Amino acid sequence: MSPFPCILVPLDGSRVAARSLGCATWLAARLGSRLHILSATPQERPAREELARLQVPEAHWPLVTLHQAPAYPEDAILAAVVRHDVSLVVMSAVGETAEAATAAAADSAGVVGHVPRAVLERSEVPVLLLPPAYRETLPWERLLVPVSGEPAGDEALALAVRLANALALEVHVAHVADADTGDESLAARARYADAIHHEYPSQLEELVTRALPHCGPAQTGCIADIALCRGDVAAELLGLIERKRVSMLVTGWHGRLSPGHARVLKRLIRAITSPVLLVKRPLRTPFRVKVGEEIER
Amino acid sequence: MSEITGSAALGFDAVLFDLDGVVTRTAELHAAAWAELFDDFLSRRLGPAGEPFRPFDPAGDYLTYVDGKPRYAGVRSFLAARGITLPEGDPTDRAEAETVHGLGGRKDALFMNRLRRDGVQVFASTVEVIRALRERGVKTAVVTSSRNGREVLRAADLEALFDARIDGLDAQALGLAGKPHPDPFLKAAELLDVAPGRAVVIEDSVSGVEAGCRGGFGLVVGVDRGGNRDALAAHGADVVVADLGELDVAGLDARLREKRESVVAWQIEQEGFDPAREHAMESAFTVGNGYLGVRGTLDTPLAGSQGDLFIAGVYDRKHPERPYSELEFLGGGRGDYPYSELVSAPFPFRLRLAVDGQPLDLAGPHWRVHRRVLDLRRGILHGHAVYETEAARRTVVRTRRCASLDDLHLLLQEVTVCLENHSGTVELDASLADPDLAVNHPHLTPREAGSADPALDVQRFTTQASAVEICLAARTSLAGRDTSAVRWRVPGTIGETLTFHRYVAIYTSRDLADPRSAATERVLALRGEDFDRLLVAHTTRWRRIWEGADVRVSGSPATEQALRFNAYHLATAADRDPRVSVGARALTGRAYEGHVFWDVEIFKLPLYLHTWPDVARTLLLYRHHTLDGARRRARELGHRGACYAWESTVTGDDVTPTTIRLKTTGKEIPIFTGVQQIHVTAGVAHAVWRYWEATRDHDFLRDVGVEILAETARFWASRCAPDGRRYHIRGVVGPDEYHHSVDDNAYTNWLARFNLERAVEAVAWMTRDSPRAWDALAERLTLTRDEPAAWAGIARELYCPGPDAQGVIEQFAGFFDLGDYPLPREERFKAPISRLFDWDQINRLKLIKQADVLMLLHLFPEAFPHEVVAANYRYYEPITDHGSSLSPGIHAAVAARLGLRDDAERYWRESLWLDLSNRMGNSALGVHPACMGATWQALVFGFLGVRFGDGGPVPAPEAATRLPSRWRAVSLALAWRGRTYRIAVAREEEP
Repeated sequence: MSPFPCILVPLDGSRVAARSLGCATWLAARLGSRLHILSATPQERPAREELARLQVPEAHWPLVTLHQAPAYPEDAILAAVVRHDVSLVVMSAVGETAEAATAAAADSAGVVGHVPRAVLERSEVPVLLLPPAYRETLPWERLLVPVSGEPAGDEALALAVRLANALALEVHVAHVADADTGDESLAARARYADAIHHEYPSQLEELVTRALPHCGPAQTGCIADIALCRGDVAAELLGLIERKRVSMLVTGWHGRLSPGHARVLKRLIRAITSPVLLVKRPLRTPFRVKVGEEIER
Repeated sequence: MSEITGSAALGFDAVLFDLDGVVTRTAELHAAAWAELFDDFLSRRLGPAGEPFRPFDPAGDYLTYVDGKPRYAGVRSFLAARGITLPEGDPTDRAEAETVHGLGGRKDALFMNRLRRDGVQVFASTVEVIRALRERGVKTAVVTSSRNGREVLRAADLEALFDARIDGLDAQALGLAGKPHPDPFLKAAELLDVAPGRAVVIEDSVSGVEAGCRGGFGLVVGVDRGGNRDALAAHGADVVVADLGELDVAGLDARLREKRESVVAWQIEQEGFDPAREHAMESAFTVGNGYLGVRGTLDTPLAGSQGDLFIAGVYDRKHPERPYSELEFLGGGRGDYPYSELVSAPFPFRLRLAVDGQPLDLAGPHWRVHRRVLDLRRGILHGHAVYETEAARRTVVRTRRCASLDDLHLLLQEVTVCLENHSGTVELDASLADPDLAVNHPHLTPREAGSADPALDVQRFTTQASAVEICLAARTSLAGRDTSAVRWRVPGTIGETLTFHRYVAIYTSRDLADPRSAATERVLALRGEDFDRLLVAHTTRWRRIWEGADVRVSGSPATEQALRFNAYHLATAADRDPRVSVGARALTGRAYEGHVFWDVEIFKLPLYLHTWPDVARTLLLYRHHTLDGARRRARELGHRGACYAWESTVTGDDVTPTTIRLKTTGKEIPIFTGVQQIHVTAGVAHAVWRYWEATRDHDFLRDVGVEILAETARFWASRCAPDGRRYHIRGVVGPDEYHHSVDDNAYTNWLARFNLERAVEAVAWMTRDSPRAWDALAERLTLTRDEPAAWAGIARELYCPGPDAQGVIEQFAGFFDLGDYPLPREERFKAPISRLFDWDQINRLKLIKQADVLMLLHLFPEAFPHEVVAANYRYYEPITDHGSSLSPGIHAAVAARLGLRDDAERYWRESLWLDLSNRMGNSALGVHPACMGATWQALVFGFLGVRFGDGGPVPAPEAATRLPSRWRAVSLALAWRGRTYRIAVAREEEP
């Protein structure tokens, strides 16, 4: 089953936003996905004319449902996500305002525009974000997924593996122990390392397997390697992206871009030239183990 | 003196009541309204080819399909049972509409008509209980699926009796799923500001009882107004009464406390399902019997489940292509040694289960309830899952499994499938074949899969380098049928329960020459009806185990539960086979590759010794069995005698790698422990002596113990380096593994001296007690007459660091001169990865991984006065980051001895709940039996301060004032010299 049966591309009419169409149509064609395009245009045109204007290859038109309106603010985009049962949003980190050369109009980090930020923060489905320095490189060949044992990272890895299997890609996994924050444990919850030569390889393995409970060897065969690094997280990831010639970064995140949040992610978006697939933690299924305080409170 | 009043004196703070059938007598009105609705509906559906009219049964159908459920769920459930599907419609549907919502609306109107006509009657006994509860300060709430709840309460003039109310309208407004989902009860508890575990649910419907159970409420009381007792109990009611008059406030409190102590504290229950936690739960729920261990993987495993079967002693060459870690960590130093890692065999409880082709597993979207319960008392893992398709077809699957303690080669599994409200074909595939064998179990070469006999499944393998043959034979039967089969397709009718029994027999070529014949003959000799008998034999063995092992902690069922969990895993870890010992993660996970470390003798053995002494004996026999390997290792290191492997498997040769290399960074990290952590040798000798002290097992000492003591003493005699008159031990790693190549590690030297002294003593004993045996041994070992005297001389002159002017013992020569390291709080209990990367830098700092000097003080409590213990605790505790799971237990023990109650409790909790707590970061890789042993030691030698004398074990006089908060008393049994003594300490506050 396709990881993204329905893809949505919101366009604000700017040239920079329109770049996302190339990636989105390629992806939809490869996955057989339905592609909804929200085209902000002052004047509605016949669909064929508008698709041609947007330079969507005619071979892909059967996949496309085109929507036109004078503007698509964030509420309209998010409503379209729900209405069309969208599974992936593809959009540029900056749009019309950035095109007008106003970095100040973007968020405080200067990397994500107002509308993309709102969509990123509020969307319940993954968002494929094209960074300001995006350079289209198709077809994709390799994905990089940072993991730390956090649920959002687990979800990102699971999604990356599904995507890799659907598109015959390689997945590279990395854990970077953050030397800046001092949070250098191997896994988010790991506490002990009785014998390091046993513990670290096993924990690294568990970092991957815990994220893929529904994957057997046939699915996980796409994982090419796991890197264990230590240092500045963004710098290490950027180094890996370059060395491994990564096509897309797939990463979990907590859903907030306001000042003080997503420090590493903002640095990555600012510097990276490949797209970033942002994945939030899944809804928790009910789970409890009735021990300790649970039975004695 | 003031009397304790209010709910503070009770074990609960709130009681949540269902309305209809519990508080009010509206159940009859509801049943009559449902009957009127459905009878009208069913009779109108009759056509020329229609089924004969079968009316709604106001008793059976009401209780089974609609009672307690939200209205529309009730409509769907009953219609599904009659094979009828209607459009869903929506709440705006008119009452005439033939939709789920239309029928639901019509039922509501019929009910309201009857309510207005007949009025509301209440159960006086219930109202009396509610008033009594409120007088005691207990909060009360009413939780009903009825959308007319408020109206009914008003009509009965009961509104003032409840602090919170959740009815069907509230549930809709708040987006709460209806019963059997626990949401309405949980919301009510939230409104009352009471934890579910401190609240009681009282319900008369099956769905309400199920909701109470799923919500984790402290007690669920079922009220059987007629014919529903078994169903209420089956769905989880802790108590079933005919009327609440049977239970007053004190009765409720007694039942809740009884449940906590007799049920909850004897089980580990998981409610719900979190795929990311699954591997950790698999470790915790392992069933085993020492001969084998099977991880607690789901009966219908997920693709990513780690359903391993481990058989003690079956190792193979390290496989070079494990899936992930080898991609980054390149281990080395194992060569072609054919016993490098414990072999994982295929999951023997694997099932594939479906109804009408619809899989029943947790990978799909149809599971509604999932619960697993490890029954610690009986060594049985229970599973319970409810599946519900979009058409409201509910199927309940219950499973039981165990690794028989009565027949170590036998696994028992039972599966019951109940088609609760539908008919269908149940499909069970009980094949043992792992579709991904090559990847999941790379050490195994398949030799045979399946069987010519359709009743039998045989899977036979050989390990690749060690050439051990493993055979699993299985037979599955259906209750009531004479046949057995691997795959079943059985038509089931509505309400029918199908019960399957599976036996799996496992033998290896280590057990006997023909494991295939043994396995097949074993299962072919069993019939389906033997299951209960076999289960009784198994549980009887467990009862005997608990006679010696159970620790009662009055006032803290959670502590009892955790201690039992630990004892369960230690009991299932050890075989009675002297060729095997207990690996670092026992038979519960792949981590540590099944290697045997120093922790067997130092951390686990004391529990075995004073609980099941025969197990302690077997573990020491393993060290005797591997003595030749230890001799080889001593020679390899350029010494005499026997030096035990730091990491040991089958032969006693050391399997510790010498380096690991990180591929990404190219960084090579040396591993010093294999060559330098030689204190394991003295640890074995120490355990031999402790065993002898505790059992006076002369045969053991004569036939086994003296040889171990002598050969290890020989090693130390050649390892200790003379320097003038004194001897030193140089270039070692102590228990604190952050420092390598150190000289005169206090722990190592003290234990080596103990080893030398006890060897001298043992030789003297044997010379005196069994001169002929001694002569034979001396000849075999080519022990000269003057060797023991030389050992005594070395022991006298061996430098053993003592307390300095401040009372602190230097961990090793030069430790005090190392650089200071301000240990951040967040690095405690959470070793940063720099410990791996910056190993050499850490070697130069005053930062230690785990109890080292404190370990010494713990092992020799009589050797050091209180002041010295206190001084060392004050010095070393703040510079320890507890990078090892072995550390907290020992710190708890030492802190308790010192009377540092806060520290002792903090470390105790850390150790006690290591595998059970939500912070068990690496329990997915297997449980931590050594930590469990340390926890037990902290209790016995720390909090209780038990010392053994000729009269048996005696707790410290101050033990009564050391007990952790909440504990009222503690009691346990301790074995000593052929007798079992019961120790009991009741809490006393310090004056």
